[in-house]
Formats: sequence, C-alpha cells, structure tokens
Amino acid sequence: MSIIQVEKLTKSFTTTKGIFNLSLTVNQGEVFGFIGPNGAGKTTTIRHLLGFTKPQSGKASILNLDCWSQSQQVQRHLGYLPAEIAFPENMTGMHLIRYLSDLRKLRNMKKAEELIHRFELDPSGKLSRMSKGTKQKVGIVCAFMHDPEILILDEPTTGLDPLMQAVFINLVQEEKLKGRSILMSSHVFEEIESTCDRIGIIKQGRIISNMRTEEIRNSSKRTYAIEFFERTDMALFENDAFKPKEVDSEVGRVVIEIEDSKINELLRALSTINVKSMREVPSSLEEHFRGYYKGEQIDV
Amino acid sequence: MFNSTLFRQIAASNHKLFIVITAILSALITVIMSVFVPSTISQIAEANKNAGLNPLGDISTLSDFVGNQYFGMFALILCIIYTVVLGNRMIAGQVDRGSMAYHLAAPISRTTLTVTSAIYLVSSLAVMFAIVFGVGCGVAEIAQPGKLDISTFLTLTFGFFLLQTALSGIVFVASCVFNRSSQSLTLGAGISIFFFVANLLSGLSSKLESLKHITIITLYDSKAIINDGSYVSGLIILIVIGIIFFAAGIVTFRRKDLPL
Repeated sequence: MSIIQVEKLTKSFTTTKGIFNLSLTVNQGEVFGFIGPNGAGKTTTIRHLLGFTKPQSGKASILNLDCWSQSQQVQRHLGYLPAEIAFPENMTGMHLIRYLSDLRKLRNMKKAEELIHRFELDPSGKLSRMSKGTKQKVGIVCAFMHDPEILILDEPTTGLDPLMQAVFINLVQEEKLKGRSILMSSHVFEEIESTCDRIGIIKQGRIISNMRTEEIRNSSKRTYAIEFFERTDMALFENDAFKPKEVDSEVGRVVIEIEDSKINELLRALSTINVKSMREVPSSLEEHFRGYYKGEQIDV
Repeated sequence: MFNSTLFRQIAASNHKLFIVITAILSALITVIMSVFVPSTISQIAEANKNAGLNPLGDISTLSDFVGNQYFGMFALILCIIYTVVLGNRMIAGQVDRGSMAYHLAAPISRTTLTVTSAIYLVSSLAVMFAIVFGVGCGVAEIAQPGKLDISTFLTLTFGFFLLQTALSGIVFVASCVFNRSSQSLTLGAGISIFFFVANLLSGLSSKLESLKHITIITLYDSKAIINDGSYVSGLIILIVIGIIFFAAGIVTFRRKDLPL
C-alpha cells in the first residue's frame, strides 16, 4: 500500500529551478532515501508533502489525503524534521517538547523521555543558546515523540557527532521494523545505505533514478584486490579477459572488477598460481551516487 | 479556529514586550493624572493665552489634555511600536525564521494560527487599556478627587483601543502577506507612521488640514468625544477597518505558499 504518493508534481520558480513532473511513492513500512545535490528540489518536494506549498500542477497525497487541502489531517500522522531547524523564540528545549506534546494532546511523555535519554540530550537550556547538534537532537525528539506512522526527515543527522549518527540510524531501523513509512533526505551515503529500502535521486527538479537499494548493490560489479607472491604470476591478469583496474607491480597486487557470472573463471585461474591474499573491496553506493551528482551518468 | 495552547505560547513569548509598553503607558497616565490638577492647567492656559500656536493643543481641561497629549501623542506612538513589533513577530517573523513550521506541523491549521494570533493581538490591547484606564482613574481619585470626568475618560480610552485595533489590523495583514520580516515591517510600520505624521501635520496649519482625510487616526475624534460631538460613526468605521484587515490577513495566509 502506498503511503506517500507524489504524482506529476510541478512547481517552477524559474525555468530550471523548481520541481518538474516529479513522481514518487513510498510504501507502507518502506524507507525512501531522497538524495541529490543542493538546490535539486528535495526541500521543495517536502514542502509540498507538508502542505506549506501549493502545487502548480500534479498532486501530493499522504494516506490518500491531499497534502494541500487536507494538510491538518495529514499532519496528525506525520513526524517532521526540517532541514534548517528554527525553533520558536524564547523557549527552552523542554518547553518546546511540552508545548508540542500539549498541541498533539499526547497522553504521556514516555517516548519523548526515552528519546531524550537515548540521544543524551539535556533539553533544559534555552533553544537559542544550544549548539547545532543539540538543536538537532531536540528536533529529532519533536519529530519522533508522538510515534507517528509517517516520518519526513530532511537531512536528519546534520550536526550530530558520529556516535549520535549511529544512534539515529538505529532509531530509524527500529521505526522501520515497526512498519513506519519514512522519507528521508540526506547527503550522507552511509546513512542512506544502511537505512533505505529504496533510493531516489533528484537532480534539477527531476527524479533521475529510483531503484531498490539491493538493485544498486547487485548491479554493480564486484571488485577484488589480489596480492601475489610472484610478480610473474601477475602477468596472467595483465593481458587476458579480466582487465584489471589497477596493477601495482611494486607490491604485487592487482585490482579486478568482474561480473559475478565470471567469478568461477577467476577462481580457476587463481587456483593454478600462488596467491598471497584476496579480499573484496567493499562496494559502496557512493560511487553510484557520485556519478549522478556530477551528472556523468545522465543528462537532464 | 482558536487554540488555547497556542494562545498561551504566544502570550508567554511576548509577555516582556507587553509588560514594558503597559508599564510606560501606566507611568505616563500616572504623571498626567497627578500633575495636571486644575491649578496647573489654568496656569498653563494663562501662559499660552497669547501664543500663536499652542504646542500642547487645547488643554483647558484635564480631559482635553488626556485626549490631545496622551492619546493623541504618547500612547499613539507607543502603541504603534507595540503593534508593529508584535504583529510582525507573530506571523511574518516566524515564517522568515522558519519556526512557523513547528506550529503548523504540530498540527495547527493556518486559520487557527492566524485567528489565535489576531485574538492575542486585540485582547492584549484590550487588557493594556483596561489597565491604563484603571490606573488613570485610581491616580486621579487620589491626586484630584472628583476632577476627572470618568465617563469621558472611558470613552476616550475605549475609542483609542478601537483605533489601535484598526492600526494593528494593517500591521497584521502586512505580516500575513509577506514572508520576509523586513518587507512586513516596512509596510506595517510605514503605513502606521504615515498615518501618524499625516494626523500630526493636519493639526498644524489650515493648509495641511486636508491631510486628515488620508489618515484613519482622525476617525478617532477626541475633541468630539470630550465636547459631546458626533464621534460614533468614526469609531464604527474603525471597527469595520479592523475587521476587514484582520479577515484579509487570515484569508491571505491560508492560501499562500510558505517557504518553510
């Protein structure tokens, strides 16, 4: 069942700025990673989902409710973490958390307290005096404390230290197990890779790639680094079908990228010689994304 | 339409401004009520008898002084500052900062947000002038018992509250239309100050008298109130202006795109 549905959404600011004919869906229990360069249209899309902006054409809906005309009903099911957090003035973190829980008519603060503890947050200080990371933690507590069915997280780990980023990734994974549907924009590949089921890449207002994370992982060939005792053995890989990416004759190492279908061929070839070590170079999605960021893989 | 939690939050985040302005207004009315006893007023009137232009306006009675100087000048300036700052801060200021996202995602509908803000703006003015009226009457009773015409003072205060409501409506609509604090302030403060200056100039010479038609401040006719003239229609127009501007702000804000 699709929870978030964006259909042919267009909002142009200039001919190149904005979003154009953009469609995406996030299904029940799915984590959708939304990535793309600055100014590509991520936040504009999110503004439509929250009902802050009216579509020029097309439609954004959540739980079959129109995001513009029924934004208040939509918001009841939503947890939102804005990209640039700006809190109301003259409040402490705890005031804000209490205020929002009053507005949402929460029966208890159990989840909020748990999150505060989990992120080692001290919410007693004035929001205006808080560091970027601390503000981000307050924002996270506010987005998750009412246990919403749907989460929209715009660059959620900005300002968090690596330990807290890991805590956050755990939290997202837990929410996913509970069946929550999540749309998350980010520039941190690791974060996307370890949480998202599906990744959409947006560039200049258009979705240019929308794939399951596994597909991206599987579609890339595997890369192995093989070291040899004898330099002469390396010759085997320098000329034939394997076409090494790198040859380091000083160390006696070659780096080979091959399709899984050719793995047996490689193993047979290796079995005839003396191999010192062999390891897989972990394929990161990063390379895949980087291509899109630079615009090498597709012209829009 | 109205959310009490939001109302309390607005009150909490703006209480300092309210207290400061109310304290200054109360202090000024205290000074006026205690200094301008009948003997002082007659002395001033005597001294100004032959002056061509009386800088204090017509002040032959205490009510005249309150009408001309207090509500015509000090309170007017202070209240314009109050409504401009508060009106801008409540809507455009929060949109500009981005903190509006927290209220709207809470979820508060846009209409609830603007209506609750408008109610705070108007009710804070009401409380402010209730306090001013109370302090004024109290001090007059102590300093010069029986000399203050309380019903005239009440009408002056109430009429002034209606004038401020109309002015705050203009500031409010500017705040709802613009997404930038600077633009909202320019329009809100600009129009208020323009009205204030036009009102001031229209009283200075007969050549500039026609300026009184382009400012809404002259709809609050303190002279007519004091001298039992016809002032009611002016006040009704102020109420209508207030309602129109607040409604326009609420409708505009509901329909526009927000950069949050």
